[in-house]
Amino acid sequence: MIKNTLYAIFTFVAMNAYAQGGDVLIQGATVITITQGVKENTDVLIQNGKISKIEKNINPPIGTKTIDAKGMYVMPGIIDAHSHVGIDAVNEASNPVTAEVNVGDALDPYDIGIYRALAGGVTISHAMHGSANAIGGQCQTIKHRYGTHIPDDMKMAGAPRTIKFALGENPMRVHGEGQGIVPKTRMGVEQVFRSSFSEAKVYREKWNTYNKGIAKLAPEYNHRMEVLADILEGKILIHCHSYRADEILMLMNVCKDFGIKKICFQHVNEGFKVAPELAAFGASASVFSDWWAYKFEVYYSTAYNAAILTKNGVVTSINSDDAGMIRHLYHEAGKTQRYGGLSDDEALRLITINPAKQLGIEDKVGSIEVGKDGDIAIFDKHPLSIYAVPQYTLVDGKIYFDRKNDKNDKRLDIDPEEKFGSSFYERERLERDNCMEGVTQSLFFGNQYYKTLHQH
Amino acid sequence: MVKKTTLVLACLCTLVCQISLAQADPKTEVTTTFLFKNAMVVDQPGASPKLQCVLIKNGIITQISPTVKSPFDAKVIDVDSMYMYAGFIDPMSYTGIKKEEEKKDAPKPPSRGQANYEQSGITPQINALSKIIVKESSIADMRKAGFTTSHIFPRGKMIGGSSAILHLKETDHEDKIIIGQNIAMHSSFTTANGVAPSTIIGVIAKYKDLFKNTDIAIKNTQTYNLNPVGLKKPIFSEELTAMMPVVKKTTPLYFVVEKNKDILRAINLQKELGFKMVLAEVKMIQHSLDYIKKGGYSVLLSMDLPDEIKDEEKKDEPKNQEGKKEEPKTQDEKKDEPKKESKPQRKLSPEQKALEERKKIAYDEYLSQASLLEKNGILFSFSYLDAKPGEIHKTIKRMIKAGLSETAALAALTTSPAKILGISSTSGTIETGKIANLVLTDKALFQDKSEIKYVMIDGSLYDLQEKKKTDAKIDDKGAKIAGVWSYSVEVPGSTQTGKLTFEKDGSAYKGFSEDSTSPGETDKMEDIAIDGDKVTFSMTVDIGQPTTVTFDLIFTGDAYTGSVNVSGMGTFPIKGNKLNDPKS
Repeated sequence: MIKNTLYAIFTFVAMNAYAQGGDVLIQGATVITITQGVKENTDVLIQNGKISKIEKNINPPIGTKTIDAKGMYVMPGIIDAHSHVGIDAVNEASNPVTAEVNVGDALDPYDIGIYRALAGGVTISHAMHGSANAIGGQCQTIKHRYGTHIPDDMKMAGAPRTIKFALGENPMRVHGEGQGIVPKTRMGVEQVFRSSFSEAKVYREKWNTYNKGIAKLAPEYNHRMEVLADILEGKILIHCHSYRADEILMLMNVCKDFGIKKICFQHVNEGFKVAPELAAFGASASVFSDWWAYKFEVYYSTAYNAAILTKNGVVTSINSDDAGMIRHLYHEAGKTQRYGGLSDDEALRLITINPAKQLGIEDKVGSIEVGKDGDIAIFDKHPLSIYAVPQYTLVDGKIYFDRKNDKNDKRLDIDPEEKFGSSFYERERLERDNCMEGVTQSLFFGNQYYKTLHQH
Repeated sequence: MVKKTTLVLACLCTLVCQISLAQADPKTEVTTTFLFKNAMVVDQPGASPKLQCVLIKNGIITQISPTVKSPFDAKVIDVDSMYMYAGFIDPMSYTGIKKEEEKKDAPKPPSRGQANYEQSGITPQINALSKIIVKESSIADMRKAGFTTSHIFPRGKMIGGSSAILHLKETDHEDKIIIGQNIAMHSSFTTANGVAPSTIIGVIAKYKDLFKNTDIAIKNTQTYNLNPVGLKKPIFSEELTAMMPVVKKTTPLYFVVEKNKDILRAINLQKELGFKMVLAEVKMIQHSLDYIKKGGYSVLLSMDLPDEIKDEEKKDEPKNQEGKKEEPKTQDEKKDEPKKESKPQRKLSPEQKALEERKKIAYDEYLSQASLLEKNGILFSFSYLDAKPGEIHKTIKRMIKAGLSETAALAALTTSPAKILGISSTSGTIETGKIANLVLTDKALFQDKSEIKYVMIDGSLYDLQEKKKTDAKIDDKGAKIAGVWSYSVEVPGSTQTGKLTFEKDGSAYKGFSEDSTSPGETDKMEDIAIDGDKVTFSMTVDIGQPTTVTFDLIFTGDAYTGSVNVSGMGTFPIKGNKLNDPKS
């Protein structure tokens, strides 16, 4: 049957297409490079998925697709350092420590949220485990290669391993109140970190003894301890959900005691209070522009947070942690000009090179430089203008979003028994892409829709 | 003289009694020699039917030729014009395994994160053999569908336990029908109920732990057994010991994975941990085809195809003829209520039309997965974990309509599962020396309205033509359920109540349910079946997406108890009493 042959061809072509980068020439745009200034009326050539030339009047190589971007603004693809897009599980909320789980094991290439993020110029997400546990699961940096059916195609090659930690009320509520175990208090949360790291040290030591041939019988294998020991050895970056300044200082002390150097604080609403301390430690911060008061520990906040952190030398980014906000992170970055007076460059760094640094991928993405990945967002107006509308979004030199060719139904996986109108309901119910997603569904009762009041 | 006559009469009497007994109860066999005369034998998939006589002795096929002299002790079955196939082999099902309710008093872990193996849904030490109930109706149901051999698994969660192969014969003890055990291990991504692992990522992490620790247990046991002096004995674990053949790659995992994402997750695990694997209950393979080919995995396709689109339209037609007046309606009403027009003319919005088109494409894709496997030369069969035996052949015919060849379909019922299970030398084809597992149909198997007339299993003959007549009588013997009954379902955190109404509809029943919170809104019951005091039925309820709710009730007088299964969400206890007698 011809149809089956077509399937086979399609699968073959699709598999190869995602493995390779594209070739494209973007012509005559205002290029905001982030690291090398703004270049007027300039072309950007991408070959085999990598930026190969940034010059005026580049002759298009034969067969290379061109994008006429005269009058448009070209910037590096936006990077969201805190998102829950493209994963099938957010919270393994069964234990205060779940370092063994990895959201990268259950990526969801069918999440329409990926395409919507592309429509907002976002090319990379840090798909994170939730904040139900003091030590949550490992996260996955994904490229928004929407259209693939192969989950692993979304993984960004060479991105370092990261893990989610959480301070304060979320782990206290889920485990302390929820099941009457440690941590019931903020002190308890600290204790979870300290005892886990100590345990991991002992665990690794046991294995070292066995591997050296001193012990004859192998000790028990513990995937959780393996991951924790890798954190202590600097192989995994910590991204910690946090709000209060006292707890932020606490975790930096814990890190010092255990020799951990790399940490990025997420949300970090009281970061402005401890900005010099964060800078001195070398910790980075990923914040909301102006979102707070959704639970008790998040009242003492300010929209000047990002600007204060930036001026104090903290590598700062603005994130979404939300399926809606991920589509307009360029607006969120723009708010720092109203609240804090950041320059265009400083504001755009918050959603490009800075989140790249926090994810350890700044050598590959986050700016328009020769040799970097062809991840590009093209706007009709300056991206910090409230009137800016994304026109094209490219990942690895391939167009994944084109405003002029934007089909109505971009879903990849259709249920032949779907009822009309059910997808909106389903999305409302299940896909909120936030930090506490999945906690109630998985722990209390499978089908009961429980709207979590405290979402981040 | 008188005495002699009495004696002869008495002898005759005994003889007659014996014969009639033998006919009524297949357990008491008169003879173990059978001769099927003039059957159209399809000895293997792809072979053209040949008129043959087939001689069976002691459960083995001993002769196949156009003419066979009937031995003196043979029961001759004239099956002129009937088609004969090798007995169907089911490579994965719960045949003969009863649904177990979750134990309420089962010990709970000290906290959700501290679940032991059993609480986490890891029970590799359980063998299907210990869970068989020989009187389970599913054995007879599968036999009626032409199956002679089943590869069965205990019901479980993440790792359910190891399998057994049985002949689907009537028996008083499972030992008499078991022909193999520990062939494979059931495995899935099912999460534990309320404890760790509670998500797909938790389950995947758990697999990694389990395999590594089993590997360590193997090595430590070897080291200890070699020279235990000065060593502390490694702690024994039932679960890790049961997992050892899987880690050593002697026992394959039959991994339940429905669609693309789960298939690729299982393949990732397989690559990392290196076990043998068969993909089971598969619905959609087209996007992971290359990975399946490269890994050399066999595939067992699910029987759960999407509902036929045509049928839905037909169902709608009579509704449309109910009334003729058309009244202006709000948009919501239009969506919920059937249109009141004499001729069905659905007015679809552009969005609805676009969705219907995409659904149609998706529907065709789901149906064509079997033919896709065939075209790509992947060894495949079917799995029947949640299949209704009565629907199996209808489902396979739909796959044939969508492009699967009849040869491949027959192979998927016979030679392919035999190959996957490693029983090809004794089963799967009609050849001398093989086990007498046979199916006889009145027309060619995949022809319309083809019916199974005889099934022979391991030399025991089952005449399904007689069975049909007794089926119709069940109604009289079964529970008297007509009337209105109350129900209360225990859902964690609340108790749901309402009414169930059963009405006689000819020789069968029809019925509907009504929730107390929304009186007047009813859901129709489907497939009401009565077996003694056991009553089962199902409903399809739309809660944003169609969800199947299956009821399993046991009636005693004016009360009943049982369970309700909500697909994908779990099983909950239900009970109720009779409120009203049927309306007269």
